[in-house]
Amino acid sequence: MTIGKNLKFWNKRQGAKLRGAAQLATLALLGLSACSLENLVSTDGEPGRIDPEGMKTEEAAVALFYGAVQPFRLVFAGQYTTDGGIVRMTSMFTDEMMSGVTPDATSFPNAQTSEIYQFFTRRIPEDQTYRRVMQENIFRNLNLLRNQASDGINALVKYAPQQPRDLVGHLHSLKGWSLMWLAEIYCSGIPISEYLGGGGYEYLPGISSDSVYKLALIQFDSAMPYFKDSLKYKYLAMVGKSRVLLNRGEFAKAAEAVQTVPTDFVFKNPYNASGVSPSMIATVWSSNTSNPENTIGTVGDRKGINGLPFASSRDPRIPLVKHPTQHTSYSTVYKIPAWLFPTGSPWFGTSSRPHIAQEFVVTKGVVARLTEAEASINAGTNTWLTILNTLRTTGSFSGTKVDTVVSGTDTTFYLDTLWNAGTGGVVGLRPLTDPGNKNARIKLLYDERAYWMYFTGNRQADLRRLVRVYGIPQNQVYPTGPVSVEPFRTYGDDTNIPVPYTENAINPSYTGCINRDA
Amino acid sequence: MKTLKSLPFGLPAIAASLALGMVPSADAQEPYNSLYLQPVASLAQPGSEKTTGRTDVKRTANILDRRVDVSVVNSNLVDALQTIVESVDGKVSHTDDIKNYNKRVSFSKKGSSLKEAISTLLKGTGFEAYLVPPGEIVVRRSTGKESAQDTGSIRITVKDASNNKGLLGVSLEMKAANRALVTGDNGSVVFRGIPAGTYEVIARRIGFSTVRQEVKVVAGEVGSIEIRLPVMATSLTEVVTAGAAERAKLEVGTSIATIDVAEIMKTTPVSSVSQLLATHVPGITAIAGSGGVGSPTRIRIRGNTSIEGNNEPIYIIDGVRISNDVSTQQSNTIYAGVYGSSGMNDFAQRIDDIDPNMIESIEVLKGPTASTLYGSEAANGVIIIKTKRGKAGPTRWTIRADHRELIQSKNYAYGQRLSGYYPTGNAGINPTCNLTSITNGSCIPTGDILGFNMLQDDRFSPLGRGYTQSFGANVDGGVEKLQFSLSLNRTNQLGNAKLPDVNREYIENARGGKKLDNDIVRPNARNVNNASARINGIMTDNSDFSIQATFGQSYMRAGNNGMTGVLSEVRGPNDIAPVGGWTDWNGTRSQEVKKFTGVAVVNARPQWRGIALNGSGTFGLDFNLNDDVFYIPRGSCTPLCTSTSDRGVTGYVNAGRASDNVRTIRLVGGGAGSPVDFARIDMRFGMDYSKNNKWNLYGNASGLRLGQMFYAANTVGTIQDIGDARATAGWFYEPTVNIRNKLFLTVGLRADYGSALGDQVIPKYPKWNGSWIVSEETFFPESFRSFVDVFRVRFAYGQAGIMPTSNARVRTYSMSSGFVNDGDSPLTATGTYAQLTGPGNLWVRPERTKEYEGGFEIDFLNQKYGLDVTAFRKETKDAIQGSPLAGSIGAFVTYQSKRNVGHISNSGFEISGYALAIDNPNITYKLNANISRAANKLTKRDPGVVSFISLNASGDMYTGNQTLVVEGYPLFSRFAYELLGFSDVNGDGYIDLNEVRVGDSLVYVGSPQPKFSGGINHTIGLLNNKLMINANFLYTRGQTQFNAFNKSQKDNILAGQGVGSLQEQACYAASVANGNRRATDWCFFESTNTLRFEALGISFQVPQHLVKRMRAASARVSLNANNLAIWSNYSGVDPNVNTTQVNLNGMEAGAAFARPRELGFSFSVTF
Repeated sequence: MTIGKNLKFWNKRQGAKLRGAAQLATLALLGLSACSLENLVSTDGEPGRIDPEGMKTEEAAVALFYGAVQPFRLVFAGQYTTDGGIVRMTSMFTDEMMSGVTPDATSFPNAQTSEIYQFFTRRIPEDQTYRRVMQENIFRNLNLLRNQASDGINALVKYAPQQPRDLVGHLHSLKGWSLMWLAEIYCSGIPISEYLGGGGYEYLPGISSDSVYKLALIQFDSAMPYFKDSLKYKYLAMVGKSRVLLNRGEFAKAAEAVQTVPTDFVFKNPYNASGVSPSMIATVWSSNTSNPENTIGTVGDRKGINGLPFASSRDPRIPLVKHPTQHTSYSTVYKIPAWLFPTGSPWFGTSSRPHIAQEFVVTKGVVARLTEAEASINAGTNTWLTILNTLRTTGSFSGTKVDTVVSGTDTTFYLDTLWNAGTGGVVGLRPLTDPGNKNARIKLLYDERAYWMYFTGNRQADLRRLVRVYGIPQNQVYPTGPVSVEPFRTYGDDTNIPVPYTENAINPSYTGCINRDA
Repeated sequence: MKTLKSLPFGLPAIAASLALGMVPSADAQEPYNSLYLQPVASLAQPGSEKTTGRTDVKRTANILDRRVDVSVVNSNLVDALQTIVESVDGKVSHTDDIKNYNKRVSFSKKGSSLKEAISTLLKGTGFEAYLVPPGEIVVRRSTGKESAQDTGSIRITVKDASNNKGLLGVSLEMKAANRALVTGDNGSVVFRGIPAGTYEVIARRIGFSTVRQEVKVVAGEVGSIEIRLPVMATSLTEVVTAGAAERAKLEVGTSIATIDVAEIMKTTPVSSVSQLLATHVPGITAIAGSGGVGSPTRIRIRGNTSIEGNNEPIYIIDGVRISNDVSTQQSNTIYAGVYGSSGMNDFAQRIDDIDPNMIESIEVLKGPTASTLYGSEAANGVIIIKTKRGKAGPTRWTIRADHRELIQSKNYAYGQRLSGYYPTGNAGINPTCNLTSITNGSCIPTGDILGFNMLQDDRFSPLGRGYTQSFGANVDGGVEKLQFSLSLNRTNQLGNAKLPDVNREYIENARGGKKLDNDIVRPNARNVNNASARINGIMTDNSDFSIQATFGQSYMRAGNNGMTGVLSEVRGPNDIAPVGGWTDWNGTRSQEVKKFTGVAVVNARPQWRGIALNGSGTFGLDFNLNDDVFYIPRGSCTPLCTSTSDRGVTGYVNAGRASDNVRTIRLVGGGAGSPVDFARIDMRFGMDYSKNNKWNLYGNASGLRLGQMFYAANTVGTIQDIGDARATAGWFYEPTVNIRNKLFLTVGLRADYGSALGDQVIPKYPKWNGSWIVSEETFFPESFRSFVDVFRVRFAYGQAGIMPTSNARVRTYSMSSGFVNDGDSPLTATGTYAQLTGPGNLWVRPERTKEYEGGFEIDFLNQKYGLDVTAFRKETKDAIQGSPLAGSIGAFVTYQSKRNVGHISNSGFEISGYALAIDNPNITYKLNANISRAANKLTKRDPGVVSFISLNASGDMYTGNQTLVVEGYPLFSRFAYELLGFSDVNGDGYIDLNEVRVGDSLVYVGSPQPKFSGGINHTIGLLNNKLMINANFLYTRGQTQFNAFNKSQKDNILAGQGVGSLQEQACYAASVANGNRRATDWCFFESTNTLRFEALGISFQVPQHLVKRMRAASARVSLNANNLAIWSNYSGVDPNVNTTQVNLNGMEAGAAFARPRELGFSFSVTF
C-alpha cells in the first residue's frame, strides 16, 4: 500500500505554507458573520410565493382591482349550487322563491339540505353545529370583497397612478356594497374584522347594523371624488348610497343621492359561459338550463300568506318558464314536491336569467325613481303615484328577454307578448290608483319594488325595512303560517340571518348577534 | 556614553528587554552571554522579583523605575538618550549604527520612569534598549526575533493511558511561562518561545485525572514529551457534542445517548439508522410505516411535542444539517399508493439511505436541555451522526457483504364468507351475503362457509420471498498529519409483493405470451448506492481541518397500488377468488433520489495571554434531487381492459422533480482559563446558520403517446411549481465552570433569527445544567468507595423551539388568469386577477419547549455494572396549528391561519443499565437493558381557539372515527363513537344494522404511541470473544392500534370458525352507518403489549492462521436474523407498523403490511 508513503510529504511541507491559515479563515468568517442575521434568513422571493413585496407594481395593482371585482360577482350571483349568492339566498328567505325540496329522514342529516330547509322556513338558529354552506360562504365572500377592495384601493393609489381613478372609486363603492349587504342580510352584531397594513389581521367584535351602514356610507362618499369617466361606476355607487340611506330611514337624502341616476341605467354583472374559471359562472338559477336538478325552488306564489303572487299574476316583470312536473332528470333529492305542486301542476322557473352565462342585473335606474317615490310618500307629496305609473307605462325592462326556448318546457306560458308589445317600455300594466293612506301607499310601493326588482337581491332589504323602519310586524311582511301543505312545520319568525356560528367558534372577540330583531 | 565595541565582552550581564515582548536577537553581531539574559517578563511584572530572588535584578528594576526630570528638545537620538539616562545616574552604550539615525527627537514627560522615557524615545526608531546591571543601558537595532539561544520549544503529546491514543481537547497550562494551549486532533501541541528552564505543566481533561508533570525547555531546541492521562473510573468519559463544543459526557448535565455504531456493527445485524436508534436509545420511538422495502419510519424522541410542526428531530452529519425528507407533491402520491396511507407526509426519510457501516457513532440530544443551542428547530432533539474517519498508519482495506432473505408472515387471518341465496328470482349462491344484505333481506344465509387462504398457496399468494443485499468496502490510512478514508456501499432490496402466478399466467396468455416486466411482477424494490470520501489533516501545531464528500443515490419502486393491492387482496372481499384488479399491477411508481453532502471543517487553537483559545468553522451543503414518477404506459392493460377511461388504455403519467438543499455555517470561538486555582472557565460563543430551500415542479397528464411518457397536447393535467425556504441564524454563547473537576455548571443562550419569525420575534432560548461527581467528594462514604466507581447527579433545564411554516406570517396572494369583465371595465375582459390566499399571522410565535431533566448515573464494581436514570418534563407552549379563519376576515373557508393554540406537556422517565455479569477469557456475558415511559397531552387550549373536537379545518363538525388533538388527551388520540349495546330484536340469530346502539359523541379510545417502550440486549462472548452472540428484544406497551384486518373480516360476519359471535356481528354492524345512526370502528381498536425478538447475530472471528492464508489482517463471518418472533395481545399480525397515517404526526396504525422476518449472513475481511 503506497498511499501512506506518498502522503508523507505532508509532514514535511505543510506547516510553513499553511501556518496561520486557519486563524485567518476563522477570523474572516467571524467577521462575515457579523453582518445582519436578518439578511441571512430572508426567504423573500422564494418560488411559488407571492407576498406583499411582490405586489408593489402597477400590474399587480390592476390584478388586485380585478381581485375585488371577482368576489363581487361571486357573492352576488353565486359560484356553485352550494353558494347560490345573495340573490338566491335572500330569495329563499323571502317570498321570491318557494321551496322545491322535500326534507325527509334520509336527506335531513345532510347539512346542505337542512340549511335550505331552514332558509325556506325562516328558522335559522344561531347555535347550529353544522356549517351552513350558503350562509357561511356568502358571509365570507362579502368580507373577502370588502378586504380585497381595501387591498386594491391601497395598491392603485400607491403603485398605479396612471390607471383611471374611476377604478379606485369603484373599489370604494364595492366595499360599500359589501358592507350594505352584510347589514341587510345578517343580524345586528356584525364583526368587521380587518387585514392590517403591516401584515396579519385583527378580529373585531360585532357592531350594530346601523354602525355597518355608517361604514358603508363612508365608502360611498369616499368613492364619489374618483369618478370621472365611468358613469356606470358612479351610478352604482349612488344607488348603493341611496339604498343605505333608505335602510336608515333617511328618505329625502336617499332620493337626493339618486336624483341624477337615469331611469335606463342598468348595472349588470357579466358571466362567462365557457367557464374560464368556475367563479365566472353564476349558477344561481339554472332551471332554464340543462341542469334543472340544481334548481331547489320555484318562483314564489303567495308564499306563506304574505307572499306576492309572482307566478300567478302573469306580471310581465316576472318572466316565467313553465316546466312540466316530474322532470325526468330530477334527482331524488331535488324533486318537485307533490305538496308544492299537486300532480299535474307545472312549476315555474324564471326567465329573468335564462342563460347560465348571461349577465345578471345588480341594480337599475328604476330603483332611483322608486326611491324618489318613497321619499315623496314619506314627505306627504303626491309625486309618488306619477312616478310609479310612469314606470309602468314607459319604464325600461332591460336584460330579461327570453330568447332561448328550453327543451321540454311549455312555451305557451311565456309572457313575452306582454313585454314586447308597444314601444319603449312595458305595456299592459294598468295604472295604479292611490289607496288613500300612507300605510297602503307604502304597501303598494313595496309591491311595485318587488316586481320591478324581482330576483336582484333587494327583497330581503325591502321586507326588513318594512319591519325595521316602518314598524310593520314581521308576520305581516315575511312568509308566515304553515309551510304550504308540509304537515310538520310552520314558518319561523326570523327577519335576518345570524352570523355563521364559526365566527363564534373562531373569532375570540365575537359573542354572537346583538339583536335578532329586524 | 560608549559604543558596544568598547564594552568589556565576557562581562557577566543580564539583559532585559524594555521593549514589550522583545528579547535580544540571535542575529545581533555582538555575542551577548545568554546565560545572563533575563526573561522579559521578569522585569515587566513586579512579581518576578520574588520568583528569582536575585538582588541585582531588583536593583535593575529600581533603576528603571527612577523618575526622569529632564526634557530634550530637537536633539539627536544619542544625545537624548545620554541626557535622560545620565539624569538618573545611569550609563548608556550603543552600537555605531545609531549614529546614522538622523531624525531629531524630543522628550518632555517630566516625572515618568526611566523605562517609560526610553520606550517613548525609541518608539518608531527601530532601536531597542537593554539594561546591563547595575545601571548601564545598551541600545542597538531591533531585530524582532527571539533568541534561540535564550528560549526553546517543547512539543507535548497527551495520550489516553488506557489505549495510548492521542487525546483531543486536553488543556495544558504552563503557569510559570504564562502559557496555555489545548491539544488538537492527534493529542499534540507545541509551546514555542519558552525561556529555557524547567516548568510544571498541568494537563486537564474532563473524564481523566489531572496530571502535573515537569518539563525542561532547552534554549534553541525543540523538545518533546508525552503525558499519559489515566481515565477516571467511569464510563462517562466519552466526548459528546452537547452544545457549542465537544465536551466530555461527564461534564454535561443532560442525558445524552451515544451509540458506538462501529462497535455494534461488528456483532449485531443492523440494516438502517432507524433500527440503530430504535434499539439502542431509551426514549426513542420508531414506528415503521409498513413492512415493505423503502417504507418510511417515524422517529420520536420523548414523544410528540408539536401538533402540526415537524415532530422529527433534526439530523446533523459531521456538523452539517441534512434534510431528512424530500417531501414533494409527488412523494405523497408515490407513497400513498405504496403503503396505503392517505397520502399525507408518508414519504421516505433519507437517513435510512445512509449506510450504517459508514458511521462511527451517533449521539442523541433528547430535547431542549441538550439541544438549546441548535435554536428554533431543535425542540424535538438533535441526532448527531459522526462518520468514520481515517486513522494514521498503514492503509487498511475492509470489504464486507451481507445477504438476508425477507420472509413475510402467512399468518394473516383470512377472509371467509357466508353463503346464501336470493329470496326471489336469481337462484343459486349469493356471494355477498353479509350483514347488510341480511339486514335488507337481499340474502338468505344458508349457514355454509366459503373460505380460502391464498397465502398458503404459492400460486395464488401475492407474497413472495424478498431479499436485501449489501456490499461495501472501506479503505483508510494516512500519516500522522493527514489521514484519509473512503467508503463505498451498495444495497439491493426486493420486497415481498408479488403478482400471483395465476394472474401473471392469465395476463401473459391474454397478451399472446408476452412476458410481463419484472417491475410489474415484483413491484416493490429498492437500491441504494453510497460513496464517501474524507480527509483529515493538521495544518499547524494548533490547527487542523477535515473535508468530506458523500454521494448517494437511491431508487425505490412500488408498483401501481402494489402494496395496497396486495393488502386488499389479502383482507378484502376478493379473497375467495384469485387476485383481480389487473389495474393494480400495470404501472409503476418510482422515486429516485440523488444526494450530495459536503462538509468542510477548520479548527484552530491559538493562545492569547495565557488563555487557550478555540475557533472552528463548519461549512456544509446537503443537496438532494428527487425524481418521482407514477407511470402507466399506454396500452399496458389491453386487451384485458378496453374502456378509454382506464388509465391502462390511454396511459397516464404523474411526475415531479424536486430539489432540496440545506446550507450550514457554524462558527464557534472561545477560550478557557483558570482565574482561580479551584475553578476553570471554558467560554464558547458562536453563530449557527442553516437554510433549507425546497423547489418542486410537478405535473400530470393522461392520453399518452404509445410507447412514450409524453402526453398528447390536449390532455395536459396539472402543472405546478411550488417552493419553500426555511432559514435560521442565531448567536449563542455557552460558558462552563469546572469547579475542582467535581462540579460542572453550564449556562447557555441562543438568540435566533428565523425566516418565519419576522423582525420583531427574536426568540431567546436559555439553558443551564449541572453535573456533580458526588463520588469525588470527601464526604462520599468510604464504605461505598470500595465498589462504587462513579456516582454522578445531573440536572438540566433548557429551551428550544419549532419554527412556524415559511408562510405562516406572510400575507400571500395567488394570481389567476380569466374572465375579469365587470360590465363597465375600461380595461380588458380577460386578464389577471389577484386574490388573497393567506392572511398571514404576524403574531404567530415559534413553539417553545422548555424541558426540565434530572437524573443520575452510577458505575460500580470496576465498571461491570452501571445504571442510568433520567426523569424529564417538557412543557411546550404556543403550539402551532393551522386553524380555520373566521368569516369576518374574508378568507375562503378552506384557508387557514397558523395560530398558537395551546400548551402541550410531555413527561416520563428513562432507565437504562448494563451488567458485565460474566467476564473471563472463555466466556463473557453482557446485558444492556432500558425502559422508558413518555406520555403527552394537550394541557391547555388558548382562549379563543376553536375546540378541536368540534370543528375540523374546514369549520365542519367531525364525523366518524378521528385522530384528534383534544384538551386533556394525548396528541393525535384516537376517538370513536361508542358501541353502547346490541340486541337480536327480531330473533333471526344475527345482529343486523338496526340492532346496535351507537353513542352520539366521540369518546377517547387511546394513544397511537406506546406509553412504555424498552429493549434488552444480550451479548455473549465465547472463545476469548472470538465467537459473539447478540440477541436483542424490543418491548412496547400501551399503543392503541386500529385493526383494519379485523374489521375487514367482520365485513363477512365471520371470524375464524363459523359465524361470528353476536358481539362480533355487532362490531361490524356498528361500523356501517344506518340512517341517522353513525358508523363507528369502536370494536376494532386494540391497546397492544408487544415483545419482539428484534435481532439475533452470531459472529465468528476467523482464526488467524486462516486469515493469514488470505493475506488478510482479520476476518469475521456472521449469521444474522431480524424480527424473529412477536409475542403480543394484538389480534393482527404486526402491532408496530402503521400505514394509514393521517398526517405527519398522527401515527395511527392500520392495515399494516407486517415487517418481514430477515434471515441471512454477512462477512467482512480487513487487509
